[in-house]
Amino acid sequence: MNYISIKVNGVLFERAISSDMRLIDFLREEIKLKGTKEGCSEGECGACTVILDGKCVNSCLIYAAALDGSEVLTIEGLKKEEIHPIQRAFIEAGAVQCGYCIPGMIMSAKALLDYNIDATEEEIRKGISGNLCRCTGYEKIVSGVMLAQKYIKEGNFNG
Amino acid sequence: MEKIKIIIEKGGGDMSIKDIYNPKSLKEAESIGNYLYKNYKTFAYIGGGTDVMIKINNNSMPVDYLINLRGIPELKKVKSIKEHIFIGSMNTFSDLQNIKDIEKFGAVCDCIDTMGSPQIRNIATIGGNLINAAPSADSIPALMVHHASLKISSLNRQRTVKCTDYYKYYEDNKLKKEEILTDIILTKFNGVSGFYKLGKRNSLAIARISCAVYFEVQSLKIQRFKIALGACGKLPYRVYEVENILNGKNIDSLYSDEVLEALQNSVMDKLKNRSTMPFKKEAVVGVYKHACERALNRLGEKS
Repeated sequence: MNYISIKVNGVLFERAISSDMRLIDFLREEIKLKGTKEGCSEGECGACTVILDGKCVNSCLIYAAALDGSEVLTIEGLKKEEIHPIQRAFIEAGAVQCGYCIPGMIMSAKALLDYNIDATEEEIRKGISGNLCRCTGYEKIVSGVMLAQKYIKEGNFNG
Repeated sequence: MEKIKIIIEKGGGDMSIKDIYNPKSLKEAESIGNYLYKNYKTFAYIGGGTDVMIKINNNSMPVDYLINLRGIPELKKVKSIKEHIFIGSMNTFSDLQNIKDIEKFGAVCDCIDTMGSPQIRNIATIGGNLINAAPSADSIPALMVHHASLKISSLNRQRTVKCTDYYKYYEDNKLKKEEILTDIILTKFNGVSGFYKLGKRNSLAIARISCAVYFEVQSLKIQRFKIALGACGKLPYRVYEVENILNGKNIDSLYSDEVLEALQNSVMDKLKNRSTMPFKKEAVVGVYKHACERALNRLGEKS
């Protein structure tokens, strides 16, 4: 057993967990945040991407017991009074088909735009290069991220 | 001597990992490892975990205990002492991008940029990549051509091994159970370097074959030429035959028939009857040329 204190979407969780529990298991099974999806379990698809201490990571490749004192942001943590500009942009750009890759894709986009709001198209493609999508062919996802840049710069959102 | 209290709690149920320790100092980590080792417990040190976790999950690395090194400040430090840079082994690939003077090590910059994915680069550590010793490990060829050394520590001793020798004499040099790779030592030279890997895609690509080169140019003559290949055998290796041909030769000999033939012979010798040999024997030429072009571009930037 390991005892951890971890902040998820701004809420502090103090739990005793089994040592081999991965972060994705902690999120989905322990605190019932089902938005983060499991794809490959090997860090190859990016469906499980969350933001850990400000950086995008594969939650399937991290033991929760190693994260005492850390902060995690999941897809559920993006929305405040209204949906996040990235979520709005993805919808408007038609970037969502089956939707399974989208939570991870959005978290990678958020991490990228938090780091560099002026990312070029090439940098956007590189920033989401760890997220696989079998549906869209990526073009509308890239358009969605570029639209999100515009919305974030306009600044008229809460949260 | 400081006493370090070690508590081992047995977990309930059928867990693959009984406990994960999160030491806050190198001494604490070494003490825990020493205790587990002496008490015949199966354990492993873990950095980012991107390799270890997969091995544990597919039962190819049966361990009961893990010692997490990520929270140890000493293993994240970066120090410049004269012409040397000491890079703590727990620096992630993303951390490496922000190290002052890292741009002097072009091959290392190239491999940082292409390793894994953004998510993997934020977790995977340079130390983990080296100690996992995969044939296709991106950092090993790049560090080999830069004369990198590995500083290894345990409770009872410290040792420093040249990166090239660590993998050349791997069975003798590889990390003992209770040892920790603490630092990677780079030395600033005046030359240029480049790294290139061939993968099945642009990102999240395990190298099918990779190449790193380093050289200096004086009066149009190549000096101190170094070349290392990855994913061409059990472990990455230096190709001394090519180095011996090129040192002292004119810069326009980089792609001579003699050099390319020696390169291909090296691959054939390493891979022998493996099914990938015919492909890699041809591919190594292109990969080598790309690595050289990256180094030559840096030469152009310098002058």
